[in-house]
Amino acid sequence: MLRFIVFVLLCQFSLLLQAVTLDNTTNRVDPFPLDEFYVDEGTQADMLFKLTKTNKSQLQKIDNLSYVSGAFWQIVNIENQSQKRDWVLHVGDVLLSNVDVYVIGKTMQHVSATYQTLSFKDFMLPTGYALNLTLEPNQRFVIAVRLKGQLYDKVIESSIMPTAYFDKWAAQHTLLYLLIMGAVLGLAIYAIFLFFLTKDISYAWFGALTTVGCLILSFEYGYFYALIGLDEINRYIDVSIGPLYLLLLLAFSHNLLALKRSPKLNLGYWIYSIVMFLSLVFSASQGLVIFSLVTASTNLLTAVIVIATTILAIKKKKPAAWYLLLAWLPITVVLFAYFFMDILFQGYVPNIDIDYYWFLSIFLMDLILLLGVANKLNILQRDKRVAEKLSLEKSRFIAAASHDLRQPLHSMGLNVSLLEKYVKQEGLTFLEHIKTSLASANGLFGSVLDLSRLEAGVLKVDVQAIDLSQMLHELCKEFEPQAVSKSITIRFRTSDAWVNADELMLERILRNLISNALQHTENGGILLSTRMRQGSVLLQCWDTGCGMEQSALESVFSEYKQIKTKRLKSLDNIDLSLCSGQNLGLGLSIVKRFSTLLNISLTVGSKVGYGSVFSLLLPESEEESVQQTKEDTEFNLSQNNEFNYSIWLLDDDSEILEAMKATLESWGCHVVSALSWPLLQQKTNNLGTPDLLMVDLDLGGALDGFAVINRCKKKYIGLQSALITGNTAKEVLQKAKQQQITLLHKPLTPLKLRSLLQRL
Amino acid sequence: MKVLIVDDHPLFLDALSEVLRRFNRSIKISTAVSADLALSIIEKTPTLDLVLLDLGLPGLDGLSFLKQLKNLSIVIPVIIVSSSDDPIAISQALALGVVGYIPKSHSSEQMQQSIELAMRGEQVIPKHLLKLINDLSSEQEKCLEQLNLREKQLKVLELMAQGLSNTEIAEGLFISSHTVKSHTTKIFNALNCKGRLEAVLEAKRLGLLIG
Repeated sequence: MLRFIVFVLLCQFSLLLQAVTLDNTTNRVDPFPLDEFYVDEGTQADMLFKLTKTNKSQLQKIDNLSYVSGAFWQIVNIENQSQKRDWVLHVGDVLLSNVDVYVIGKTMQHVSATYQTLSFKDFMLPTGYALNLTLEPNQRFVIAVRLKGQLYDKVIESSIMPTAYFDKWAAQHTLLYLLIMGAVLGLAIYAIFLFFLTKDISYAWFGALTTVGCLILSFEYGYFYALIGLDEINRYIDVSIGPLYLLLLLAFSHNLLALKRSPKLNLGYWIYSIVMFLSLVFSASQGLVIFSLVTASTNLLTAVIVIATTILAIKKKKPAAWYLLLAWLPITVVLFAYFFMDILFQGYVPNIDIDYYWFLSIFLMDLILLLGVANKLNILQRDKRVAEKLSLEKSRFIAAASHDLRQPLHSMGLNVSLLEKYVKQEGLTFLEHIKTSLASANGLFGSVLDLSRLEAGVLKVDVQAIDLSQMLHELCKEFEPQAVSKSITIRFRTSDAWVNADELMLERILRNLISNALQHTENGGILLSTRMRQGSVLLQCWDTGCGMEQSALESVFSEYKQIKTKRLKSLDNIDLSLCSGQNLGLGLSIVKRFSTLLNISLTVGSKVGYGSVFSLLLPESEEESVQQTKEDTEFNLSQNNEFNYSIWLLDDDSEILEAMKATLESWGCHVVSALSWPLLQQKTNNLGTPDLLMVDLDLGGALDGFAVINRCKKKYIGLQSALITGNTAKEVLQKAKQQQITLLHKPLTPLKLRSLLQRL
Repeated sequence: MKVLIVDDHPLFLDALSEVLRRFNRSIKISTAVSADLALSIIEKTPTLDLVLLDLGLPGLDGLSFLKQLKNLSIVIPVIIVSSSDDPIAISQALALGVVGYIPKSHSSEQMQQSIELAMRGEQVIPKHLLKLINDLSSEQEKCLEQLNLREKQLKVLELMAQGLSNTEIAEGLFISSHTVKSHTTKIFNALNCKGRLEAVLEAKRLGLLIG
């Protein structure tokens, strides 16, 4: 973005430079020096004579529209007009400030000349200068126009027409100009709007660059002209047309790149832009002819590049290519037209106002490219949907596969633990082996699930202060049997170290690192160490295993990735033999991903034959006071205030009532209990609707549980109720169902009570 | 004590039954290989003390089974014994009144211990799963806050997801259908959706609706 802004600024600067240098370098011979052309009240006849004498042939030759550099004449024959009317002399595309107009006479012989000097005030956007004349009917006039100052533009148009017609003509042209610019601007604004809607940066580029292009164009054409009125601005504007192509071109090429991003194309555009920029700057100081040639060739170059890009895009056979082709087509035609006109007519193009075609082609290009960007977005969104679907299918597949594969493993696990009792001394070793394999198979499936969960973004990071030495101690204890069975040692050396990390993830990282070390170490041992670094704790896992080659180190964490790409190609042909070995690299790739998630730096060093070291740099925790109490069970025991319900109990058995009350209150419920209905009424008289009413069906009195619940339901609308009963008869069940009462069968257990509360 | 085990893997059924018998000789165990079978057993013996349920059942799945069980208006405690540890499924099951969750990867001792804890009235859910479930619900809360929606509107959204009409939602929540209408308008605006289905899908995508 920055380099783009710099580029645009440079372009504009170069234009100013050109405008200044042009003044000093343009040195052309004026075929009609001012003295010869000077008209004075007393010397009109002389002037005309002189004029006729010296330039008669030229005058005749050019006839109706006389064009020379610096001045021209127009013979206006309005002899056949009977009416007196107002005329307008229009000098278009002159783009100079001062124009002298001489109405020389009725006939060549009869001179009654008037003359007028035009200035900015007479300027009419965008048609050039206009002069109102009042001419007598049935007469013949010669109108001479002298352009004061230096002529820059090569094309001068002039015409004389009735005022009414001119007004219409000017209005039409202005309207056309405004319409096209407005349309381009509208597209740009629409694109910006789309950006806010879709947050797709391509739209933003499109909108912003096109807007800038449009604004500069309008600014220069209108505002500058009308308000500032500097002579040099005219030149500035015409020179700026070229680079304005460039600006717009860059806007479009950016979209083009958005359609098909290619570094080569990008580079090509930059080189092209720079060449164009430099050639414009240098040629401007070399005089008009060279400048004109350079402009022509840059136009040609642009056209060639546009065509080349389009061909390149089409070769790639993307739908975007067709949009590009269509978009570039009008602009290329216009550029070629410019080029050929420059060469053939040497700058003089009669009566062709190419600017309108130019604007129109910009608009068309803009429109088509916007369509292209929209189409690209659609394609992207479709691709995204397809990819999401595929990824979902993959996750489902993995989940389903690991679920199904785990089922037999689980029953095998249970059966193995049941078998243990019956196995005699010699068989126990084998049973242990089976158990170990089972554990590692389960671990592998767990890893697969972890990875798919990570990919699905289900795992969330929960950073807290962790006692690292405590964790290492437990892990060493856990892995000790495995180490002993391989007759290697596992030790840890640590000072008090508290770190900030997600406990589960850090544990998984360490577990994977240790089991990786265990797997690769045949003799010697494993050492876990912590060292304090500034504000961090360096945790290292050393082993005296086989070590790794330098080249292997780089891919040690990405092994799964390679396997994964293989898998994606053919989901049906998963090489299960890969899963059976420990070499799948799942463990280390999880280590990598978890440490990335936790923002922990992870490095590995190794020497073949000596061993490896994995290092983690963990952020040190300042809150050592947060003491973690590790529970014996890995289940989360219920908290005291787990349920916050108000419950009314009615049972005629005081023992059951008290037991229930105690259990419910231990879970945080507010319980009102009563042995009889009147008592309950008394106790709950001033209370609002409870969350639950529990009543024994058999209350020993006249009222049974149903009746009590019904009465309460009348009083408290929406009341939830449960009926406790030992009666399993169908009628009770049906009645309860009809009245939307939950049934609790005796014997009541805490389990049932919890189940009841859980349903609320 | 009467226990029903529902699992479509006969091997696992046998193994788990054996584990339970070891744990307590007095346990009477019945088994079912599908949810339909399980429901018919429950209707015959409503005095069951515990159902051990696998979530991934063929035919009627575990969650649908739980919904039907809830409609039976009998309180029968259910513990999920499953190899799936999908926190969404588990939190849905919890919402349907399940008292615990035991992963199938647990050893027989761990299973015994879990069931014992459950019998004492404890909620048995492995710690790491509980964390995942809490994450889910906190995400939901965050989402609610971001969209500037209230609890009540979430309720409406949940009922909407069940396919209920505005009138039915109004009856279910004891509010007027006019209020429901204003809630739905707010929901549509917040989710930037036009229709009910679109809103429900968007809410699910955002994690506002679990499942």
